[in-house]
Amino acid sequence: MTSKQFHFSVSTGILLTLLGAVIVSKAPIGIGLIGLGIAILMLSILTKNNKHQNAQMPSLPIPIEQTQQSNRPHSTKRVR
Amino acid sequence: MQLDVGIAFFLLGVIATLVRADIKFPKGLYQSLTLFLMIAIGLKGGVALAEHASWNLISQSIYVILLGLLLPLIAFPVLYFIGEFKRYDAASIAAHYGSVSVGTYAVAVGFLEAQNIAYEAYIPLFVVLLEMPAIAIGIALARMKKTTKDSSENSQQTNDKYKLLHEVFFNQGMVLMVGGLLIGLVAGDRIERVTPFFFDLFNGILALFLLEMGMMAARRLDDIKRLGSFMLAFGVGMPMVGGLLGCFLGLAIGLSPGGAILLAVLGASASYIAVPAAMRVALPQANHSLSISSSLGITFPFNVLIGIPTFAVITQWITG
Repeated sequence: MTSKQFHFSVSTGILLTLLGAVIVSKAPIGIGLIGLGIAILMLSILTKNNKHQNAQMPSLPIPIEQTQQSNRPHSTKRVR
Repeated sequence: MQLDVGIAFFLLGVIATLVRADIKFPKGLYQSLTLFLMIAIGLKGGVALAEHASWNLISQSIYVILLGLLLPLIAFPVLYFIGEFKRYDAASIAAHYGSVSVGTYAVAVGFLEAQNIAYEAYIPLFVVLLEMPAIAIGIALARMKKTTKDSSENSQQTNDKYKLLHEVFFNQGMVLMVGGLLIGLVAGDRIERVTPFFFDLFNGILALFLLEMGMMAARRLDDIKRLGSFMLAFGVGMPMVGGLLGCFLGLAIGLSPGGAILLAVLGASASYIAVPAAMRVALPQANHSLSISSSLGITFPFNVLIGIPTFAVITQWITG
């Protein structure tokens, strides 16, 4: 993770936590925001030393139909 | 404290997948549920339009389109300069976050009805209007730097342009929602023949849709881990920004608190049906799993579980 990404994640986490703290006085949903904010903060700190995540992005998910087809056992019979 | 039925079904879907319960929707049911929701939302909007059509609606629509143009312009610099994504990826994700999710809108409608909060029933018109601008901005942002091209590239691009225009204006969401709007607009009293199916069953169908969406979101948990904290922060932060802008705009153009909540939800939601299809045609180079994983795995669950109630609290707070 680059330092710009780290700062963005930490700032978002702090802002969400603060917003949650303000909202919690009005409605219990603020707890959810606080939890999410803290989770983002923790994750940012824990993954701070990881390399740029763009390189490890998952490839396109394979549609279920294709997966089922590829999982089918191939015939081993040979035509003589 | 009462838990909304829709949210409960969403959580059931998440839990069922996490405990590896063998729940499989029949093939094509998810697609059918989505089609049902699109038609039902369109019809409801059309009926409301027939009752409340006014000149004021035109100015409101223009502001809503401006919101649709603004959102990807906010998302793109964050993804490109801070996230350091490739231009195509940043533009594609920005288009997803500038557009809207009909599923999230349906959940918000269910939420407002459960809370007895009144809203302008013609908001589906805004859903339709918000689908397109972000796609155009996303493509423009992706192709901004491309200046040199030979003739074969030109003909390929013309071909792609037709495909893209077809995808933008005639995707299933657009056709069914605009079609539903028009049918609702012209049907008059005859709409009552289909209301038992499309209106009365809406919340039950929505619950089934959310069950499937919960399972789908839980299946994307591994993707979220790989996307990392930046995408998590973006997937939550961008809806908050879009939602607040939608809420302020809604109140500024004279919508009721309920209408402003719905516009906030539209600003906060990220497309996972119409835009992915358009982006595959327009930007085949982009990594589409990035945008789908973040919109479906992060932003949709965030909006359903936290975003919608938060926007409701903020809007009601502002309006007193």
